[in-house]
Amino acid sequence: MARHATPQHLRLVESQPSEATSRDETLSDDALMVLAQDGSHTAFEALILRHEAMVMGYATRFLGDAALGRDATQDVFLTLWAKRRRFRAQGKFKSFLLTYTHNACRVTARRQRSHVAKVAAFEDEPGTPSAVGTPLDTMLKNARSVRLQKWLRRLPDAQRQALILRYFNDLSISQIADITGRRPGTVKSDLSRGLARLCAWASTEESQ
Amino acid sequence: MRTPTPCPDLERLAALFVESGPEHSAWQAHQQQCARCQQAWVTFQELTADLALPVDVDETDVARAVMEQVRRTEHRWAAWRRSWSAWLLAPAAAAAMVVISVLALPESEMPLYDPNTEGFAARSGSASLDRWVSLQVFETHRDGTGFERVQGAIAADAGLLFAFENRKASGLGHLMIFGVDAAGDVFWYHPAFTSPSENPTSLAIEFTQKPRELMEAVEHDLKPGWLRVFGLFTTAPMDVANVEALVDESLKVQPDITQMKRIPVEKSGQHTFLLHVE
Repeated sequence: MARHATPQHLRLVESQPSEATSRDETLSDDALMVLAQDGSHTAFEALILRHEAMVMGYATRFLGDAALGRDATQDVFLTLWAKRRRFRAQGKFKSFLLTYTHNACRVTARRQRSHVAKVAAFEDEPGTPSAVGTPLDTMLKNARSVRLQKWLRRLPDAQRQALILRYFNDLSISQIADITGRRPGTVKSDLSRGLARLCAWASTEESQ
Repeated sequence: MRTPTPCPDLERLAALFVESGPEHSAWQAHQQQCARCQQAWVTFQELTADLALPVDVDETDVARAVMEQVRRTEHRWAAWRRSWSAWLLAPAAAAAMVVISVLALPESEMPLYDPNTEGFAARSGSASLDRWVSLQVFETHRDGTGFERVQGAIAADAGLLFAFENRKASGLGHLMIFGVDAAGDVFWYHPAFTSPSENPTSLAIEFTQKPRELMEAVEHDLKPGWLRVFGLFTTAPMDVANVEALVDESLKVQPDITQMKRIPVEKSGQHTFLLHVE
């Protein structure tokens, strides 16, 4: 039965409101998501600001293109808002978010597959998106990193995803399995096969 | 454990690297003598270290772009629902009504739809009065020098202030503001009273196009967790006991206050939102 509580203190306040400062920084991801389910735009925006770098980092790594990564990131959060009622507060928001990121990147990659293959085949061809002054190239100054990104694009989606989630996002095998819907043994295979291919390409290039 | 064979293929070696499990140590002796496997292991380490490097991304304006799209979509949805409701009432006059409601209605009579109003969400057709009312909550500073708009979280001993909007189209002249926590306890803000034996009634309120503050800060000893705040706007005054009985009914139907959206009060406008008590 509802019990009512009487206030501890009543007082009159006459001053003007100050600039809003948010306590939302202290709220957990689950709490922010519950508030978003309740309709709070502020809470949802706080979630975006908290996780956009992670999502965009993954998407950019996976797609090999900063502009595509940014578009995929926006798609991820718009989908998350549209499907926010599916979320259940279980302390697994990051996995939930990465699942949407994984799916958005796969869709984008499928759309861009012929373009990506062309980019991968022509390593330093002028005019290819990854070769000419993109933000990704600006940041990946290290030649080894540039080569790595090129090799990643040549991997099958499942192997690329597994490697990024494991080493870029620092997730465990079981977390990767949850996100991708693949069994842990399959995830390990994806990792070892992907890593073996990268190593083979690295060795081939070094011997040339 | 099977005795490993010397110089496994690259994929097998990568699998050992990925697992870094008990077998790893079994390969240490082999690797110390095998340049090929040593080199492969070093390459694995370099590759995974490079994979782990942060990717510098420009996330500027991503949040703003997403929220603009969210608000645009909700606005279109609300406008569609308004036009859809008009069509249901009188098909013959629906077109004219849509035009009138969208183009000719004075701004003061437009339903409240401010995407920036915390916690506001488009309501279903059965709660059409909701769109004419809204509630905002502020938390007072501990030193009493002012107050600030609450976004989603409040302190357990927060002094709360409220502001309401009540458009004339609502026809609602009374207001109660209370919170319900996960345990089903009801915390009264307006009417505020300090004696448990009292049974006060709703505040009488005027119609207002702009937020009207209720400048009485009310503090409760809240428990950490969720607090569902209700602004209950009614045509006639209600009393605390009556509303608490209705809260009880609601909790029987929906015990999870994060999902509770309304109190079963006829001809009422309700604005509810969640707060997280820290």
